[in-house]
Amino acid sequence: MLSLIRDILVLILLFGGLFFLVVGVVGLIRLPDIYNRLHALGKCDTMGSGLIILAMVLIVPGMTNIIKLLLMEVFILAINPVMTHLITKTAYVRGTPMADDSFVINAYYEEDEDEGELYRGEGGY
Amino acid sequence: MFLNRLLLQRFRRDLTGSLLILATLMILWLLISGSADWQHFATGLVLMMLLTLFWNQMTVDEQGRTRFNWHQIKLLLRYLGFLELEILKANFVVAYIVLSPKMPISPGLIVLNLNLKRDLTRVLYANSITLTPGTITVDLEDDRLLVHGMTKHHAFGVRNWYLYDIMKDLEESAAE
Repeated sequence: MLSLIRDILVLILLFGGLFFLVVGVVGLIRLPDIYNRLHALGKCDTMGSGLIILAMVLIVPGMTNIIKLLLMEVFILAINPVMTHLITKTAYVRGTPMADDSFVINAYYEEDEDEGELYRGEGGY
Repeated sequence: MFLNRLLLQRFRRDLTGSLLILATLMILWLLISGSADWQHFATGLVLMMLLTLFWNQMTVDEQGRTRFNWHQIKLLLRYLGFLELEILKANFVVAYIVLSPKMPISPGLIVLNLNLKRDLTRVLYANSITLTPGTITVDLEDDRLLVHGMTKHHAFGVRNWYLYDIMKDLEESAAE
């Protein structure tokens, strides 16, 4: 009985992970430019592989294996956003064009000597 | 024995911090290796001492010491908990946008202020922006943060984000 419940949980987690990985790939194909595609890949891959690793944690025997799997999860959580950031930054520095009607907003402000008064940058640059 | 002397220096400069790091790493090592022979123990001890030597970059303050307090750990745990929730939300947002037939996106870049000083908190915060709904960190120089958003709403959502306050708290409590 208990193993049945566990198997059902594992199945749910596995298919959830599969769903998010598929969403990542569909996003890679459908979205218009490199930045938007990285949105889909950077987030959905982390979540999908995380769910699959969680499913494996439930069925793998032995404490050491579980700890190794959890470490893998931590590494994926740390590395995936860094690589996404690097690819995006490279694309930005090289001047890869964005999708047609995308906005650029400058919400950066500098605090003046006058206390509390905020200087707003011009919109767009 | 150049390495030896360096190690001794590190331990002399900051005894508690070094021992703390060493103990944490040893526990991790023993959990991974899964057996407690003296050979495993000795190998682990040597390797973890080397790691302790190279640890300097991460959790030290200006004097080269590793320090933290319980308040910081509590804040960090709270931060990670909220981050998990945000990651969950982000994935459903992306799934909704990608799978809906009309694809409701209005992408673009936004420049923002960021007043975090320490490298560790900066990295953590930039990574969490990448992992959360509809935003990617493109660039982070000094206090200027460049964020790409999938929709205008998400891009502006970064400006007054509640995780930023927790991060700021974390950084300020480190100064004491």
